Amino acid sequence: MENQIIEPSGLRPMGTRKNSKVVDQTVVEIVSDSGEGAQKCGQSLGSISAKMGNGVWTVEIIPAEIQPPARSREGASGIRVRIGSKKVTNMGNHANLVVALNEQVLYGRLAQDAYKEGTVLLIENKWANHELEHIRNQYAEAITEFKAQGLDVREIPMETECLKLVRDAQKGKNMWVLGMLCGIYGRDMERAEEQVRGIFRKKSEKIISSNLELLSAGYDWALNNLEFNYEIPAMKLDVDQVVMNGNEAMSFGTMAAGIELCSMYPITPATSVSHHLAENFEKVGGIVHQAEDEIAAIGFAIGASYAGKTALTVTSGPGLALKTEFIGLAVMAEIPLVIINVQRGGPSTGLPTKVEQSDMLAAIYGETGDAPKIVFAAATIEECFHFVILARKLAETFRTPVMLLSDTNLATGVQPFPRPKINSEWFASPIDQSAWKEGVGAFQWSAETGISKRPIPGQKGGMYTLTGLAHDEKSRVAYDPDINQRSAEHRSRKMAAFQQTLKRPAINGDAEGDLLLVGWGSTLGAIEEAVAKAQEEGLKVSSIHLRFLLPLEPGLKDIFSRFKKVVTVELNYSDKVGDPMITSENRRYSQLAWYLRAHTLTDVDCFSNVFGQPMSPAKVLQFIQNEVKK
Amino acid sequence: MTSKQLETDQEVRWCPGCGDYSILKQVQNVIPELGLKREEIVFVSGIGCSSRFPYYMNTYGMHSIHGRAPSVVSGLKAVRPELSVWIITGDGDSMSIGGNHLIHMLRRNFDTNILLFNNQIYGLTKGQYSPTSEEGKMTKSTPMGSLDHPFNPAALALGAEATFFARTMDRDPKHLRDVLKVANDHKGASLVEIYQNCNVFNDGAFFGMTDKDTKLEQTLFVEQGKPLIYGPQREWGIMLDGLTPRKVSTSEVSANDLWIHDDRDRVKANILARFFGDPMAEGNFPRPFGVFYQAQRATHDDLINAQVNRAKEALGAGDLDKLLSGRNTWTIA
Ligand SMILES: Cc1ncc(C[n+]2csc(CCOP(=O)(O)OP(=O)(O)O)c2C)c(N)n1
Ligand code: SF4
Ligand SMILES: [Mg+2]
Repeated sequence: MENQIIEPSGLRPMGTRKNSKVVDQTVVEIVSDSGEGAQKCGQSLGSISAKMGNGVWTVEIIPAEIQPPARSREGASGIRVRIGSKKVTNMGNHANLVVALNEQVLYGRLAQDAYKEGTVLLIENKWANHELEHIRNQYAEAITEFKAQGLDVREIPMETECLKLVRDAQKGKNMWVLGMLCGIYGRDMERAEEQVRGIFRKKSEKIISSNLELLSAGYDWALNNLEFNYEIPAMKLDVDQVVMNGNEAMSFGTMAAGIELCSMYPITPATSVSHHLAENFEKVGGIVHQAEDEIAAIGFAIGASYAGKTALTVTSGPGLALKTEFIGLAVMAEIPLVIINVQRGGPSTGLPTKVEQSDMLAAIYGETGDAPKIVFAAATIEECFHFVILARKLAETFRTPVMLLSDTNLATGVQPFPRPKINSEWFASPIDQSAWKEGVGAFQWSAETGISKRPIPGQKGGMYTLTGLAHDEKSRVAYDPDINQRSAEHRSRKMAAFQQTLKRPAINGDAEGDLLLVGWGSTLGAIEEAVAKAQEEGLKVSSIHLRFLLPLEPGLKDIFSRFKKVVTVELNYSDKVGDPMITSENRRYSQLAWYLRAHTLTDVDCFSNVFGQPMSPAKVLQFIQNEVKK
Repeated sequence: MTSKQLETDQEVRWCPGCGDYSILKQVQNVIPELGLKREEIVFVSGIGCSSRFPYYMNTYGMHSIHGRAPSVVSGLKAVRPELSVWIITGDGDSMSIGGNHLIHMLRRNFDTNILLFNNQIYGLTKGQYSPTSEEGKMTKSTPMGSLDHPFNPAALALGAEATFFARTMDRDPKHLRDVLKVANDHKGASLVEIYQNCNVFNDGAFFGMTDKDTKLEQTLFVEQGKPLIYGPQREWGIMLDGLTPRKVSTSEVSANDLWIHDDRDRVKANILARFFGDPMAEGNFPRPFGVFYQAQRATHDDLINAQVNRAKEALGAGDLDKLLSGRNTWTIA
């Protein structure tokens, strides 16, 4: 097959694509020391691909330190990009191809099982002739080792090629690599050019054109020097698409929800929600407030909500821990509020840049006393957008704090989805300042639903003192024990009233079988991909994926009863029976399993780990295969 | 509005004789003179005996959590700058658990009045030493005497870039009312420290300064533009020798040569704040009361709203649909 590339305007003539192999998906990694632009390169490859109609999922590879020493094994910084002919919902398994700007950073990825025999390694070869002997030796040793491990190693003169065009190869090598990858994967060079112009839109025309030259040089080099290249056919999509990561989606969702204020204290991986928001929020009248700590951040949101505005606070693990006392107040005093927790590894400072789903029980039960509130979790980047809107609505309808969970995988992963058309119904209605009806208490709970309407400062006749103390319908401090019991019942009843409106979770696969996997949050794509493969193999496996955690979606016990075995798949810790000291009696289950066991009286088991990596479909598939054979 | 209308049907639960009653009374007396509507007033407190205050005011209110009222008020004022918002806090609430929020409230300068009920003790939890208790304080948690050096609230406030600091006392209703009015007139965060007697756990902490037999000897009431004079016969004055204050006899130094109080002068306010030792100890100065310092600085509420308006003007009111169809949107035909 010969594939002639049309010459895009302003670019040099392109090489010829010969013998392209058609694949339906591929996983590419670009790794380097931090600061070499690997992420920009990979994000661009992802965007270009998405714009061509390919499915895309990206995962950032982030070192824990901001500036780890150069050429260090732990310092791998970069990105994984999975590109497919159809929608891509997870990071996949082993990479098919990796571009490495030095050999040391690869060790860390190898240890994380990112590659397999046959993975193509395109490695910068400038280290072979480095002036320092020990670096030359390190490089040579590594190449030998990588070959021994079965990697298909290609040493590439990236630096040399870039130096033909620019004086400082460090600046722009990532664009040359992008060009090379575009050549290898048959990317649309007009889209690529547009992407590069976008990246450097604030820079001079000279910088733009030199990067465009690097891009097309990389493209040419690939076609002239590598004997392989691929096509990844794309889908035709007739609706507008947007591409963004989960944190961006949450910030857009915040604006689309008509939320008027976001208060926060910087913490990885939640911070960028507020950064994205700050870029545009004021234009729509919103405020981003950076408080002195997470306690003050939620206090600020509570103050604004008490005053009738819709407020959001965004945080991650350690910050959530600090907010608990105020969340308790918001539950007790029924203050509508959206709390986003972008989970990272814990406990304590834990794995700040890595994914985990360990805050589920803290989100549900973190406060002292009985503190029911709505807790739910986004499973896709698209849901990161729409769930903020839903969270705002639920907070106001049920006069309660609502906790929305996301995680590092969603926060930094990039995926295209249909462009939301803004709907004015998503917005909060303006605050009502007409006089409060005489005789009606500030907590006139409906006996039916537990719901009550709240007066807002400025409203004539509505004066009351909001309190965290047990209180009656008029917000008067309860000295009578009945009041505490009664008010607790009403707060809890709101959860039940909301639960009555929820649908049973959809079953992915048959409604009965040997094994049911139950997931929540960002593992959706990996679980469903593994289940689909297992089903192709004829295994009787299905899965469900929970969005609502408090209250839980209805029908779970009934669904569970139709499967021989029910197992949760989660990124949080669980003991394994057979490990030293661990017995079936003292074994600690993963969080959703624990919760579902209590809720459904079903013997729910769990498959979980805390390696800090997104769940891979291969691991889930392997688990299914073992489990069904048992 | 009358002060009677500001009372609520909630039973007041302070100990008989507590200084908090007098403060409540004076606040209820002052508010009707401020030209506010009841529904546009909000009292926000933390936790402590003093923090029960909002229940007794027939306005909007919030009895929040221990130490955090300033953070709640920051959010409230940011979105509703037109409301008159008052923070009620104790010495433990504001300077121990809530110390962080207090200093940030002061530097940000939200337009609010902070009434700090300083009884130099934790009242609600039944008498432990507080960050303003004197060294060696014997309490249930410090039977051999506390070791902590106390905070000096005036110096703390000035150090935290406060734009207003005043001190008054529960036992001087007129002074209390006058100070509250000036504090309310000040645009910005006005910190008013009120010496308050906890007759159950720290009775008499301020008697020397509040009792009429010793008050004139131990206290110095400062007034804008007036010389610093005190003493039972107004026989003492304070002079500034460079930046060093000196106690002088008013029979020897004419009033014009004394330190003239100027609450806009930060340097003088800082010197005044250092009049903090035991007024009866040799070489010490009397304890100052009144407005130490007030300065004009943009309030955070105004700054936020101005910034939002500027953003809307400069960039045009945001069109979300447009934002969502920015650089990263496309259609695939
Ligand atoms: C998080 C938290 N810790 C401790 C307490 C217990 N507590 C309530 S009030 C208080 C101290 C109050 O002292 P202060 O602020 O001086 O107020 P006062 O009672 O003297 O007016 C303490 C420790 C609490 N309510 N919340
Ligand atoms: S304990 Fe002290 S501060 Fe508290 S109410 Fe009684 S007298 Fe007042
Ligand atoms: Mg106290």
